[in-house]
Amino acid sequence: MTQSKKNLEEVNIIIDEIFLDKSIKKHGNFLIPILQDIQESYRYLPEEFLIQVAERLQIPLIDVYGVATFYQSFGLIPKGEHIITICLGTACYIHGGTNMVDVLTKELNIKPGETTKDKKFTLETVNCLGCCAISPVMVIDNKIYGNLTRDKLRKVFYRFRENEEDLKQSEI
Amino acid sequence: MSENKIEKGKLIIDDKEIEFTKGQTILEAANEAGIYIPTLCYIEDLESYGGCRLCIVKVEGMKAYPTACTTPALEMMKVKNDDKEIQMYRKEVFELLLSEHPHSCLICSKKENCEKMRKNVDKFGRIFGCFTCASKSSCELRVIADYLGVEDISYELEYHKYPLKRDDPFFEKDYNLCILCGKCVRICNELRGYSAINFVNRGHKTQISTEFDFPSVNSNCQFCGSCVDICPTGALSSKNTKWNENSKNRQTSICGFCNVGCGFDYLSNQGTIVESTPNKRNIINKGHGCVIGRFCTSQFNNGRDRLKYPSIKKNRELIPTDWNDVYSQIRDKLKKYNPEEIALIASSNMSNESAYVLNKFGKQILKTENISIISNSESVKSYYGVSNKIFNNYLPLRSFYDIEQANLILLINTNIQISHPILFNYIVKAKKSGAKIISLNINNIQSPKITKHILDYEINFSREEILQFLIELSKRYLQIIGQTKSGSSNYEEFLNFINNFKYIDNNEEVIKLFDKIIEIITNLEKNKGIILLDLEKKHSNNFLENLIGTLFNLLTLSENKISLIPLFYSGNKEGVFQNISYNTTLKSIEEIKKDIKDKKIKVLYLMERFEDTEILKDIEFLILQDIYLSNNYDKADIILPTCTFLEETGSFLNAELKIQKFQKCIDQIGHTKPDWQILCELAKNYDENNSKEFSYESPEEILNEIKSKNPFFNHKLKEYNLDNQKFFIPYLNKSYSEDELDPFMLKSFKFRGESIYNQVKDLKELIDYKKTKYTIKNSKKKLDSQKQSITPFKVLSNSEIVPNTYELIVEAPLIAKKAKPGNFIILMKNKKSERLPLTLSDWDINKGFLKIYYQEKGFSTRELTSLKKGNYIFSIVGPLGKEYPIEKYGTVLLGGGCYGNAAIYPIAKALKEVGNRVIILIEGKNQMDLYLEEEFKKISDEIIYCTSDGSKGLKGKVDVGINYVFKKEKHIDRCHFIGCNYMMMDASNTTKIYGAIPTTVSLSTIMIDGTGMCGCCRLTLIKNGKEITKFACVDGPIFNGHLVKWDELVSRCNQYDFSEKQIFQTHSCRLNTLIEEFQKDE
Repeated sequence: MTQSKKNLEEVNIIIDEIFLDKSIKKHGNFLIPILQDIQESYRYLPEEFLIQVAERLQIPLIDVYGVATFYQSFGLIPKGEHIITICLGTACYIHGGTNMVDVLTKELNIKPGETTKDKKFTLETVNCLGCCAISPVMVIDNKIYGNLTRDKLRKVFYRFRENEEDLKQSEI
Repeated sequence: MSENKIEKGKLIIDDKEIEFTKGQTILEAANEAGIYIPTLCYIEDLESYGGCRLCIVKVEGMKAYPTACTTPALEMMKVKNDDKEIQMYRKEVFELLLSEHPHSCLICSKKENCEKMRKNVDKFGRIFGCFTCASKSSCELRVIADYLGVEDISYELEYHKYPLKRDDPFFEKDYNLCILCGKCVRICNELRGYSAINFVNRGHKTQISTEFDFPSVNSNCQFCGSCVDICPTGALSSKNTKWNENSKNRQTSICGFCNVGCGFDYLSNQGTIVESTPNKRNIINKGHGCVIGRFCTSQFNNGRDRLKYPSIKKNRELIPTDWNDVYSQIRDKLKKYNPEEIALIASSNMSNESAYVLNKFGKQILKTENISIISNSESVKSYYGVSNKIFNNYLPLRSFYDIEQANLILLINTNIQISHPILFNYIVKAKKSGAKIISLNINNIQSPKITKHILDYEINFSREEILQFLIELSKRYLQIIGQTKSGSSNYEEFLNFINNFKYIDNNEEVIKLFDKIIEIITNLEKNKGIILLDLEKKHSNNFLENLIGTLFNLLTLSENKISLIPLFYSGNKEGVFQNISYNTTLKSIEEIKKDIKDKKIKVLYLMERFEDTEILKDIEFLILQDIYLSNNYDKADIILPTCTFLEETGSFLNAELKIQKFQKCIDQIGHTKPDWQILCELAKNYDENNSKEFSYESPEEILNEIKSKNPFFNHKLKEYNLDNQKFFIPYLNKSYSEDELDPFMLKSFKFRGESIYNQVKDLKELIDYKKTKYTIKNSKKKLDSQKQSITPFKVLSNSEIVPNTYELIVEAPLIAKKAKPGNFIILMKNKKSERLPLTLSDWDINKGFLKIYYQEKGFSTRELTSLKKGNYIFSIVGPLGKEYPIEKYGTVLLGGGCYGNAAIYPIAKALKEVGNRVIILIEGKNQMDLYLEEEFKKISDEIIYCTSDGSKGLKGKVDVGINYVFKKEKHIDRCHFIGCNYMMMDASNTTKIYGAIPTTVSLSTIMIDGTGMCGCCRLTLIKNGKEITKFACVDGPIFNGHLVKWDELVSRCNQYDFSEKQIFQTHSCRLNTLIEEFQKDE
């Protein structure tokens, strides 16, 4: 509950931008794009932002909350910097998707749906990504890795983590 | 709808030809023809949803199986409803629906017998079976299960174990029972327009919830109860009154708390109203209610402070006496005064009949001119004053139906979703079909958040501004239409006024609004504009007259396209006004007050208390005719207790000016009498010559007299004629006081001066909550942090191990030392709690603790569930009762059900230790009901399970298990059963068949002291045809099951059933005052 007023203004800017984009005022139809933008900027949907969105769009708060809890890409608790999604759709499941979950559960020491303590990674599962041909599939920050095995997954993951650290150092 | 020609057609359902109206669906046509098609998600007033898929039918020429609720009926359509294939699919759908709803109750083999034995629903917290479900009689799943003949469900129950939501006032939510039909969501969003709940999450986790899973008090919820009434299961239930559902006395009547006049069904038991549910057939409310009518009626009517006996003041104390005594006392006293020294004050909650008799009594007997209504009589006086002048004693017709058909709705100064929630439904409906809703508020009364999304415009004005706005509106409108068709005699004068009027405000928004409103009005059809005007708020007389007058001008100018509905809060303000002002000029309450101050009025006959008691000091003789104790009570010389609208018959005039008759639902409480009867008897006592004039057999007779005399009640309420009406010429030279107005709140609801929240603890909770805005979590913390006095009985743990059954571990070393198998203890949670007898299940002498298993089954056990680790229990007495004789018998069968499972544990353990072969038989509704399985494995030779739904072990009740054991085992030496009375009876009767095998049971009776003194636990054993009286606490609790007189036992246990249910809404310990006095003495 300690979000600053500044953040609320930012939400207003997001809403205004979308309104401007669609040249329309107060309309519930643009709820999802607005939530997507907020989710992208903050990696979750803070409570008071949802209240603000409902007020601006003039729709009941419960409707906003319903949408926010329905889609897996929205979250009400802060997500990590990087989101790792493992597909557990039929094809991926048969080709060992659950093994991939096990590997990452051990590596990151979190269960699916949770975020690491340092807020770096969030592990998620999804029911189908639509690329069954290269199953099992994992997505890290919108980049797709297919035809995974336990070893391949570990390699990809280590490389990603190293690169991430390199990036951090170069920034400093 | 009525404007279009109704086209009829015919379709065939199961070879039967039925008629339908064009636009109807198959389901609607079938319903009208009396053909049953099962459905769980259809709501009559709303668009079809097609969610539950139970109403699938076969239609010739259509692919697959369409749902009857979404398929429009067509000419000569051939529909199959009662078809083998269809029923099979429906059954499958239904079984899937039930896979997440505890369903053992629907398929239990003992369903019918059980209902005979358990006439009363147990007051369980978590619902997990039939006799724990309070919504049994309204359960739609039962109806469908019977219709489809479901006997077995092939899916395992997926019980969600959601926590119960009991933090809210008025209703409880148990979403473990929810089948996600979505009816509550649709009714809340689409019909009531509150949008407090919706579906959240998805897939298996889908749930109905408020935003952020807050308690309903934090959301938009108005506690109207529509969701509770529409719920097909027991997921939503009325918190305090749900267990009364099957009360047999049901009377349909009219609610008298506001002047909408909703139809309600009142359930009563033993002379008290226990529940009020909105009547579905009533055309005004159509099965909907509001928080006051739905949830507060019973509690308000049953309040403990109701006045019950007529009393006379003697030596400064009011002494109860009989009616005749009171009448003669009043007569003797009143005869000493001049007529002009006496004043009669009516209540706006009286019936038309009582008000009429009051008028007659005042004029003919007392011959006084001082008659008034207590609360804000100016508003109604101004309204009728202006209307009589303008409409020449005719009144414009009003109808709620017009609201839902309207294209334009002007709300003037109204807080309608709180003051008249049912009318808000009509507005929501109008809004849906495109009406513009404009709210004009005076002095910053903000519409509450819930109404905001319904409003198209909302503007705040000062009193002066709103008049100017309305006059300018008429001016602009007149300019557009050119000239009015009205043949009004003062048209010229009006025109002159209008032309000289200059509008000062140039606010752009307001100017735009003028154009908008005028555009709508000019395009209106007849009766398509509605003005809702709140008249209860206090304004200066002059302002009100101007406001009403200018609005009437608008009505005239629009040629009756617009109509006006004045809103009053009390049940019958207009009716009382019309009756008491019949043939007299009504005095305003201010005038009466002035006369009292000037000592012109010395005697007051009050039908409703004065809020300001200062004024009563100047009264010499005060007669108070009231329903509740108030601060006027001490000042009164005579008390006349009277009835509420639930205890008498009569009629109210609602906001549509309909005469609505209400019925007597329960007998009068104490010695109370209806107002009209008191007045008639008093009149007869006053002077015997009056006996003819005041002899009415029934209120009906009075109403007929009213109708014959007062044209207002005699269908004279015609639509006014344009030619007869005049224009109102406003006088704007005065500036009005701009004091702040109080918005209408739940707190403002009163009946005969008594605030409703005063008597209804849940309403008070709701109001306090909304006022302070602290969260429920905080308030709970507060309660927990309250210091508890330290006792030797510290709680080590208290947790729900299976639905409804709790395990309590508590320190009590001295009791643990002496405990023996079969013993029980008596426990009191707090100083003022009930004494609860509970069987000991386990104990540890070294560590000094007791283990007790209990079920949440009523008020006191519910109290226990709130215990937490580290709390202290006020007192534990024990061990009590006789122990179970532990010997080497051979093979022993021990049977347990519910809490009994735990109670047989210590006996089994002890019997095993001495070398018996122990067979354990455990009964439950479902496998989830079973507990202590691991423990039993260690101490028994064999365990047999039986469940009602067959989810574990044998399918069936205890008798199935016993039969199984007796067939399998060659010889059983002894049996012992512990469970509910029904289970123990069933078990004893079954073992009887197998000969004289010693069968003992551990009886649970009503118990108070546990030492054999009070006799509450008395029971009868029948030995050799002789009846022997025993006491369970000292002679038992273990008895020979074959000897127990079960009928008597069950009826004795149910003896306090009604009080046990009432306690939830009225609980305030009667001992409280005694204890306080006792402590003072100490």
